[in-house]
Amino acid sequence: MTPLLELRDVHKTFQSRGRTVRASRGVSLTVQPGEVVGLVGESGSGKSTVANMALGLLAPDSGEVLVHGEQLIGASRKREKELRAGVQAVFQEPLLALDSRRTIGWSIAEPLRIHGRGTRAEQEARVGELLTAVGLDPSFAERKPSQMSGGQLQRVNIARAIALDPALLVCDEPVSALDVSVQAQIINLFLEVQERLGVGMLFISHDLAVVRHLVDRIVVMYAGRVVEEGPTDALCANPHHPYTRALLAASLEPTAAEAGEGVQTATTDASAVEGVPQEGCPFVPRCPLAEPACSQAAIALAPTTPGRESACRRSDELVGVATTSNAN
Amino acid sequence: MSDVLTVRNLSVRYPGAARPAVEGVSFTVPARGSVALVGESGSGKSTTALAVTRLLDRGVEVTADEVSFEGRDLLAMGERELRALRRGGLGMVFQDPRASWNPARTIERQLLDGLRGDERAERRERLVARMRRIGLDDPERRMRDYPHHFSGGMLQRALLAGVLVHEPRLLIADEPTSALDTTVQAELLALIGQLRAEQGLSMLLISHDLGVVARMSDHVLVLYAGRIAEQGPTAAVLAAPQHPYTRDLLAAIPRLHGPRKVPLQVGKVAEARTEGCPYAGRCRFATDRCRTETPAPRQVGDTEVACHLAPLPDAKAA
Repeated sequence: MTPLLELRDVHKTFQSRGRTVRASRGVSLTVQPGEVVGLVGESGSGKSTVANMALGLLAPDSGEVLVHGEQLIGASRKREKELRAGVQAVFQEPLLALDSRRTIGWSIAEPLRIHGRGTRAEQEARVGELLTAVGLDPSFAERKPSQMSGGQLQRVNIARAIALDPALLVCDEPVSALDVSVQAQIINLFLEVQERLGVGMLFISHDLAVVRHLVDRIVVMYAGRVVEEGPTDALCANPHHPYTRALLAASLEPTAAEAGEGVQTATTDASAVEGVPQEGCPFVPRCPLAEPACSQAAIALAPTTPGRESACRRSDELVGVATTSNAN
Repeated sequence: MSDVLTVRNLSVRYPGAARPAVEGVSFTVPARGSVALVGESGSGKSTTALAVTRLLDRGVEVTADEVSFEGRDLLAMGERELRALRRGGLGMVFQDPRASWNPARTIERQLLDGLRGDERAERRERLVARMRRIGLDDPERRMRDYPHHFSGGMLQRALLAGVLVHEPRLLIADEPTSALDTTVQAELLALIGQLRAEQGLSMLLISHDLGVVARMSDHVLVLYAGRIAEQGPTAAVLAAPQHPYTRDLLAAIPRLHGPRKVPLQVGKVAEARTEGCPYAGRCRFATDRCRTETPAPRQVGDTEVACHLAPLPDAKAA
């Protein structure tokens, strides 16, 4: 089966304030047709760079980004347009993709116009269908973005993203700016859209609980590298990388059992750490398991148990060792 | 044990607003206690904190039967006295680490300016000791850096050090970790916990994040549309929420355990009501009475809840 999306050993480096930021250091990942993959990491992990490369908005320095097995960047203009129609985006900031001067209906129909789908009347009918599909009344087509709430705008963005029946949605922190109640509504909408359309998704978030709820497989990034990957339930029950364990331990849940208990950390304070080491494992300065050998050579992602991979010299010691934090 | 902060029947109205941003809010923060205000945007949690610290703009209407810090009336206090208090017993930390700092001045100069009395060398020494305590390596050197040299987490720590050097009795923290990464948030919360224990510090925590509130508070107020929906011991509110809003809020949060890929339970979509119970438009249980008569807070089990229908059936199932 040809993957919907495949990144092969992708590197991307930026210059920022005279410093070199290695946002992607040999990232490989795939999304199969209909599969929902979560990409988790903190700021600076490179997850948004990966999203932008998957969308063809950013060219990698080296490595390949393949959509349906073909390179987006470098394809003929006609083929590139066809491929792009199949990969759509939903971003964190709901106003990013919407023109504030235009109506909601105009913005939702924009991809239909660009790709010449249907007559004007057919496009209008399609906008009504799409609004209904995302839980909004078709009359919203006449509104301007300023007349809508953040949750409603995110629904509009999802309507716009599914307008062309894409095979893949790339969603970069699409619920992070929303209140809990609204976030839950949008999470439910993603579940519904996924089930109804069978669309593949690359769902990017810093919030492990949100990702866990929605995805089949989780890819964890740290400092431009994939450090762990595996099926959602197995990975959350028993992370094989110390960073994933720290992330899980730091994800706080509102449970009575831990009320007023305070917070324990599974990392060495980030405050004591300046930058990321260029040699060896990037997590060394914060890792509770680090030993001298970890700083010497980069650790490649390697299989731990069937279907699981981790980039840690000491992963074997973590296999089968469940996290105790948050157990309830 | 005496209360550090007492708030009775606080209401706040912004000019031209249809309804108050905060209405009839009462709570106390006991010595060494930690009280959390939790709610979504528009709940009035931050407005409550700003009213208590007198940081609202002129023209905003604030009324209360009492707002007092260690028995002193905060609402009647003059500007000079307030400033002294903010550099003394009452410390504050806010969400955005960048907004709290002047980018053109070094960390050291900004923090030294906030310290009263003493010789500069002595003030500096106190500060260095604090900075070391909050986890800054080589503080003598790093304090001469500018804010942009610091990470967000480190700036929040430095801010905390600058506040704690005054040895406050109460820390008011408005979303102190919301702009930080998950693991960095955990580190800062762990540090706040340690410092509170060491200094016997009380805390008023404002947060939208029930996970943070759960760990960091022993008493919680759940706010909806400017009113207290429910308040009580944090463990009791989380174990057996009595207000439909508290239940809906808890059910809406994705978890790290249990079923996934199933729809999260969400309340109906509706604006907060101005008549009757503000949550009546979204509430699954609402009756005619809820739509006309504003519920007064009353004690139900361990929590105080403003709902005509409490105790709700099957409270544990939420």
